[in-house]
Amino acid sequence: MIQNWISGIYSRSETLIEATRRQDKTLQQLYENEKRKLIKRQIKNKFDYISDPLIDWDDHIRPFTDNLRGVEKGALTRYYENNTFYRQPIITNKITTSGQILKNNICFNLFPKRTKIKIDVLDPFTLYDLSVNEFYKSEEELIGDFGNIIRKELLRIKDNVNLIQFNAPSLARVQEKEQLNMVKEVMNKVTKNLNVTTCLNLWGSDISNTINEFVNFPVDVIGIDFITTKINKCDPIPINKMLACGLIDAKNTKMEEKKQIIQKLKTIRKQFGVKSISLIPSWDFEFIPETFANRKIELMKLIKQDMKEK
Amino acid sequence: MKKFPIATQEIGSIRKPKWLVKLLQNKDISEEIKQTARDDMSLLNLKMFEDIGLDVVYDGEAKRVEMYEYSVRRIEGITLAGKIRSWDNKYYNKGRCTKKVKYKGPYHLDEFMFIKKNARKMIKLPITGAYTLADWSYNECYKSKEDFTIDLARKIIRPLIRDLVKEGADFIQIDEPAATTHPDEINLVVDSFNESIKGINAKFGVHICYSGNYSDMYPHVLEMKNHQYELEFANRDSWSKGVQHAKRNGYSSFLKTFREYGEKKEIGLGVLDVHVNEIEPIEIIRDRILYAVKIVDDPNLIHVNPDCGLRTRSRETSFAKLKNMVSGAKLAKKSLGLI
Repeated sequence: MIQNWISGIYSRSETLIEATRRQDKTLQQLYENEKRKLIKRQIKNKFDYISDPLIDWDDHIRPFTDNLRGVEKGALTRYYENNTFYRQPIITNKITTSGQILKNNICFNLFPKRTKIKIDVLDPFTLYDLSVNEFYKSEEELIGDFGNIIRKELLRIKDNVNLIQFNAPSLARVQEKEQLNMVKEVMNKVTKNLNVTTCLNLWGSDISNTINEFVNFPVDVIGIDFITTKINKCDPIPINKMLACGLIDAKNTKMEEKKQIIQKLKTIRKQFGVKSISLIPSWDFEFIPETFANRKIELMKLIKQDMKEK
Repeated sequence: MKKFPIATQEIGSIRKPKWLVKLLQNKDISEEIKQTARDDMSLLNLKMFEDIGLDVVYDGEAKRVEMYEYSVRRIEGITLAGKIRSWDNKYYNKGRCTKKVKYKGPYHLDEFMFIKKNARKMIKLPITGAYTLADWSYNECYKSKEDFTIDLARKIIRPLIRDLVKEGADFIQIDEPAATTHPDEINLVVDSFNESIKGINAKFGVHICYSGNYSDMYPHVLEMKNHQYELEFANRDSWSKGVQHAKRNGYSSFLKTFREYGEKKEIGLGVLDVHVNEIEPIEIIRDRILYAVKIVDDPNLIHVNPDCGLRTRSRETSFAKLKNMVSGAKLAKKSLGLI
C-alpha cells in the first residue's frame, strides 16, 4: 500500500504574493480562494489525506506566538538552515491556551464533505526549541507544558481530523537517548486515546543514528526526510509502522526521476520490512515556487499510480 | 592600513520611494528617463548619508532590485524560478542554476563609477558573495554545492572584483548573509571568500547576519582573508542602557570569542535593528559601542553600522536611525577621549 500527502506550508501563488505585498483589502478572500484551489488540487491528484495549505500562516509557530498566554514576540530568527525567518516566541510566564488556536487557524470550513483531513502542528520539543525560555526552571517543565497545550488544542479538533502530523525538525536533531525518552513520555501524554492517526515527521536532519529510538515513539506513522537521511546509512531495522518517505525534494526545483523514486521506495520497503508507506515531500513546499510545487505533486500522483499498477 | 576608530558606515540597501518604484515599473517610460531617475536616487541617497555624517558611504543600492536578484540576473547559467518567502510577506526571487556559470561583465561597475564621481567620503562597495549566491539558488547543474560555490567564486566574483578594483574600488564588502546558515559548511564559506579575492589588493569586509551563533565560525574563520566583519547584533540585544554583560547580551558571546582568538580584524558592529521601527536612543547605541570597545580593548577595531540593509524600513525611519547611530558614535568617541 502506498499513500501520499503534502506537509506544512505550501508555496504562495504569484497572485497571492502580490496581494500580500500590497496588503490588498481583499486578501482574506484571496487566501480562501487560493486555499480552495490548493485543496482541490490535492483531491484531483488523489492524495490520501488533504491538508490545509497554511498559506496564511506567517510561520509554523506564529499562531502560538500570537495567541498563547505567557508568550511575547521576540526577534526575527533564522528558521533552521533556510533563508527563511520566524518570529521567536519569548516565554515570560507559565504558558496556557484557550484551546482555540488550531481550531481558529485551520480552514476546516473549506474542506469538502467526507474529505480525509490532515493537520500539521509542531511537536512539543520543537516548540520549546524554537522559543526563548525566560520563565521555566527546566526544559522538561516547558516541554511538558507545550505538550499539555498541544493536547488541549488537539482534543478540540480531533473529531474533524483524520491525520495529525507532528512536524519535528528540532527533535530530528536530538542525538541523546535520555532526551528522546523524555520527549517520548510527553508525546505519550499528547497522543493518548486521541483515536486519530498520528505521524511524527522528522524533517530536516539525518536521523540514521537515531532511527531505532524514533520507531518506538507513540505514533502510527514515522516520517523521514530521505534527502538528508541516506537510506544506505540506516540500519535495516524492522519498522512496524507506516513509513512516510520524504523523497520529493521540497527545497530544489530539480524534478525527480520517477523511476529513481520508485526504486528508492522499493529499497526502503525491503530494508525496513514496512507494509505500508507513503510518499511525501521532504519539507514544506514553500521553499520552491508554486509552479514547481505543483509539478512535484503531479509527479507524486504518477509515482503512486505506477507503484499500485505494479 | 589606516586606522579609523568608531567609523560609521551603511551596510547596503535603503528602501526606494514609491514614486521611483512606480516609475521603474512603468513600461511607457523610456529607459533613458529611468536611468536618470536611478542616478538621481543614487545621488540623493549618497548625499543623505554624507549629510547625516556617515564616514563610509555608498548609495543605498539605489540601482539594484535586490542584493541577490540583481546579481543572478547578470550571471549566465542562472535563471529566475520565482518568488520565495523570507519572512511574513517579504519575498525574494530565487534562481535556478541549470548550466555552468559564466561571467558576462562587471555588473556593478557603472554604479560604482557614478558614486566615485560624486562621493566626498570614503566608499565601501557591497557585492553579494559566492557562497550566498549558491546557497540561495537551486542547484540543478553542478554535482555538489562545493563545485557550484567555488565556480561562482572563481568565474564570477573574482573577475568582478578585479574589474572593480582596476577602476578604483579600494574597500569592498562581500555580503554573505547565508554564511552561518549551515554551520558545517563554514570551510566552504572561507574557501570561496578567499578564492574570490585571490591575488587582488584592496580592503575586504564580509557582512554576515542572523546567525544562530557567530562563535561557531571559529576557528575556521581565522583563515578568511578579510579585514573587517560587518555583523548583526542589535536584533538580539536588549534595549536597556549599560555596558555590563547582562545588558549587552546580543554582543557578549561573539565579542568574547573574538577576543579569545586574538583577532585583529575590524568589526563592523551592528547597532541598529533593521526589523523594528523604533529608533534606537543614542545612549543605547553609545553603550553598545563602549561595550564592544571594552571587550576587544581597541577602539580602532570597532566600526559602526546597522545590522543589515535598511530596505525593510521606511526612508524616514532609516534616516532617523542612521542619524542616531552617528550621534551615538560621537558620544562613544567622546567618552573614549577620541574627540
